[in-house]
Amino acid sequence: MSSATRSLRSALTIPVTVFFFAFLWSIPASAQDLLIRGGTVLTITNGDLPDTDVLIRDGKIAEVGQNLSAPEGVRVIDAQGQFVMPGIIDSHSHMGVDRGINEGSRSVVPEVRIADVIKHDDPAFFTALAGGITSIHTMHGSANSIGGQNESIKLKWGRPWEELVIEGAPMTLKLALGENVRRSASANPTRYPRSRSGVAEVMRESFQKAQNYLSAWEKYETDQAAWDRANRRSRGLAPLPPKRDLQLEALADVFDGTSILRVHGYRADEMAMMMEVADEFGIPPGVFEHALDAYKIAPEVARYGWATSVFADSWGYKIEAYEAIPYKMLIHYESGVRTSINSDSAERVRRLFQEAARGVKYGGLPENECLKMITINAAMDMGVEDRIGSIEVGKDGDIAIFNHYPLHTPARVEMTIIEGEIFFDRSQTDVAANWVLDSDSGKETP
Amino acid sequence: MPRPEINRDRSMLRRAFRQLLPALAVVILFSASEASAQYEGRTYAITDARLVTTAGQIIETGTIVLRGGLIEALGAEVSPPADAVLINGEGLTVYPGFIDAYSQAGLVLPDRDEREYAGNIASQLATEYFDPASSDLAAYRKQGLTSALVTRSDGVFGGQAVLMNLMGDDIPSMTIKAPVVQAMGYQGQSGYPGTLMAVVAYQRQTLIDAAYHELLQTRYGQDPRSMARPPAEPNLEELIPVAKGEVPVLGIVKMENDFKRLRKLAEEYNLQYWIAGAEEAFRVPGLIEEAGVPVLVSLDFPSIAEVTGYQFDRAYKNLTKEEKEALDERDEAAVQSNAAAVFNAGVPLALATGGMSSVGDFVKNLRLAVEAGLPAQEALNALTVTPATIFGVADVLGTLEAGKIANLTVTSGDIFTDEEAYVAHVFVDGRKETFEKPKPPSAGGGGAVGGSWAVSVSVGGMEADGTLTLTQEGETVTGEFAIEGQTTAFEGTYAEGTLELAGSSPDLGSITLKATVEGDDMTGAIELGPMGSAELTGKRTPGTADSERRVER
Repeated sequence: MSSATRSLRSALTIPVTVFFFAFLWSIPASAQDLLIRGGTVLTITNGDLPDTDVLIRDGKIAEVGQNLSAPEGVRVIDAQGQFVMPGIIDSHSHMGVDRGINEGSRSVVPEVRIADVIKHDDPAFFTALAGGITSIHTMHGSANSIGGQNESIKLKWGRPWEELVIEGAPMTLKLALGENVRRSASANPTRYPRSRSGVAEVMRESFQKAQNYLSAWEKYETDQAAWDRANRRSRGLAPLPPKRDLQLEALADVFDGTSILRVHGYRADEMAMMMEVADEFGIPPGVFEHALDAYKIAPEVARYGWATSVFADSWGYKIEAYEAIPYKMLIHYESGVRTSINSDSAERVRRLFQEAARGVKYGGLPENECLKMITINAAMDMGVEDRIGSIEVGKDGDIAIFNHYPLHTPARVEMTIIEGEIFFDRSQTDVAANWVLDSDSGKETP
Repeated sequence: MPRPEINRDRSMLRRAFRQLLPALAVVILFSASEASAQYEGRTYAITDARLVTTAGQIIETGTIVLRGGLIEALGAEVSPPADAVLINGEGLTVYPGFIDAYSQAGLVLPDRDEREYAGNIASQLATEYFDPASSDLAAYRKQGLTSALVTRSDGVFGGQAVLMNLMGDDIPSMTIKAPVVQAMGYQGQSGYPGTLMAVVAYQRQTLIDAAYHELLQTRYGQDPRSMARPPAEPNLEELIPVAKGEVPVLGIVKMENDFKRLRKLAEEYNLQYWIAGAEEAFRVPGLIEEAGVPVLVSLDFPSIAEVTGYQFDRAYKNLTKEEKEALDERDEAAVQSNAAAVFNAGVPLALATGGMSSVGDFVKNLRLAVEAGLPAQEALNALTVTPATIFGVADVLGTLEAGKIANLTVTSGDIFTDEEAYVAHVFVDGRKETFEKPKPPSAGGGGAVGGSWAVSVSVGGMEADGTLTLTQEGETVTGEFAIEGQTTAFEGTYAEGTLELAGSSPDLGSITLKATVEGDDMTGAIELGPMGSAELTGKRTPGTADSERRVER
């Protein structure tokens, strides 16, 4: 190499190197980086840690400990005197769904997907964020024996639709028992079923069809393999495949647990029926929604391995709901039935932490068990407990910061963080603004 | 020297009448069974006009001759033939006839409850619901629209869109091309699919079903004795080329997320598509650019409160009144810049009325779209050569060229930029329709209802005479009603022939008036509080209306 070339190269290298390092130094901290300093951290799965910092990097919890130092450029939130808990999860919601939650024209519509109709700018998301909610499981309604496929989303209000979806969350399928299904049928004279026993029959028939569908495909694959091996001259036409049926595919996904059953049920006898039917078809246990009378059969529910997602103390609003009791959370807990507390409402969702506090009031559930019912238990209902529901290194940086212990009467949410980004900050928000939003019509009413 | 049109017209008429009388009888006798031929009426020559043969190509003063439904000749040196009706084109601009690229013009659908299930009606042509005699079509022509891609918008696979001329005797002669493209929308039906989520599920399954239908047909063709014959499914059969991605589907979308739903379906099933409606294209310009497909943009301007993101930008944000007004202004501008956003995304852009609540706003919104950034030349392309190309009819439509269909939009002034400009004539298949200059609003009279009206009111056998003095600005009407020594102030609106006023009197309380106005005549009713409803007739006092001189061109 001539000296001329060498000097040319070094002349080029120096500025490039300088530029490179300058570039490194000036890398701004990601918008998804945050250090929450000095709060009491309610990890849910690993006890309460006083005076503890939580560092979020690239949207994930990177470190939990004392006296963590903030990396260059990372925003620091002072949480001294405050309580830092994982973002609250509403396991049963209908928020953020565009143009209808019940496909009531037929009783069996597992092919419909909430994922197709997420309404990302639903104004109810904001009031939910103000209540510390970071994720919801938004569902088909309960008008159908077999409703549709639900979706787990984060409340990144105002972000495009696709950014809200929790990637990799398992499919869940809504089923419903009892009054709502029967009532919807009487509004539509041609719809079947109209009785509780009819609902059981529809479940069996539908699962049987799905099994037949799987068998038909298995037979086709066997035939096709045989045809592939057969003599090319004498084998005739290739076997005809069955037609793809998205309804039966959605149903078939429940057999191996690819899709989790989420069954709206009030009465104990119907829930018992559902567990029997699932058992007959080898379907893994799912979650009972509302489960008002599950306390009556709590040992059976535990034995079958089903979970429940309940209202804390809402009952008596219809015939099926007369025998519910607020001590059910305690009874479920003592019977080993996993329970989450849900809102099912764009209003109640704002105060799910107060709903959880009712577990302490009625029967004295341990506080952390109550908090589990709005965090990790809800995450387990949705099959996303490896990503959200507790403050652990590696999980999503979804955090709610409270001014008091969340189950304490004056507690309120100061800040709500999703994947390291602040989506609600009380100090920056005019919560008293005279702005009422109707989540259904999207209209502003002063 | 060309003689004035009016004389020529009369002598022509006399001659034509004599010659045509026997023929007319034949037409009347046979019109029920005869599919009518293309219009072969008068020959027209528009002389001394500004001819915009296509965007950017202008003959400043020229003549265009229309004969037998076609453009016969045009140019600066062209002389009008001896048999032509002459139209003095001084001050007029002649454009290729505007095409409404996505439209419900002339469609008459049954009420939703009685309507045939429109989940999959893929094999139906939109002409099944097209009424060639619909008075609706005149409103389109008045906006300079001479042809339209007509389609139902309420189906999931809602049938075949057809390209129709907007004036003519019957469907066969008005049809330019049928079918053009299959319409696919997102409206729920009265049965399944009723909700948006079920519509999407239904789209998926139907595409699968169409592909499977083809497989069955193929197999049956190969060995008909090996299987039961596949059922006849004309609607599925129609969708086979769509499902195979061989022909595009016309995705009718409005909201931001509709575009994403359409794109996702197209990706999953390897569909080709065009986009129609597209009111919120400005929210997804990246998606439009990436898709690179034709977009038939409606000049429907949704109210900003309906637009995706409205709530997010405002709720709980501590906004001052000024900040809120600034946001509103920004959003209004964004809605109006929608067509410009599509143009800037570099995809084929066509303009349309589909989804507009009032077609009468088309030219007004066109100007707003140009003001909001759509270059005027591109707006012209989007109304002419671009849709003609998208629909595969550029050889017969979209520019002024000899041999093309005699569809012309003739305006006084530059329709794209000049607020005073208006559509003076349209020619559709060589037939002429002439429009009067809209009366400009002015104080003390003006508009269609301005002036002084002698009104007589009759209630319960009693009659009384009074005077109604009205001033119209745009659609807003103010005025006074003097009767029986009392004067009541009124305010209200006038639109599409209907006058609606409300006022209040110390004796009678609230008074409302609703009347139909035709020229200088008014008929309607007035609600006189406790006295009940009274019939009302009125006649405008000559000379009190705005005296815009009628200019015969």
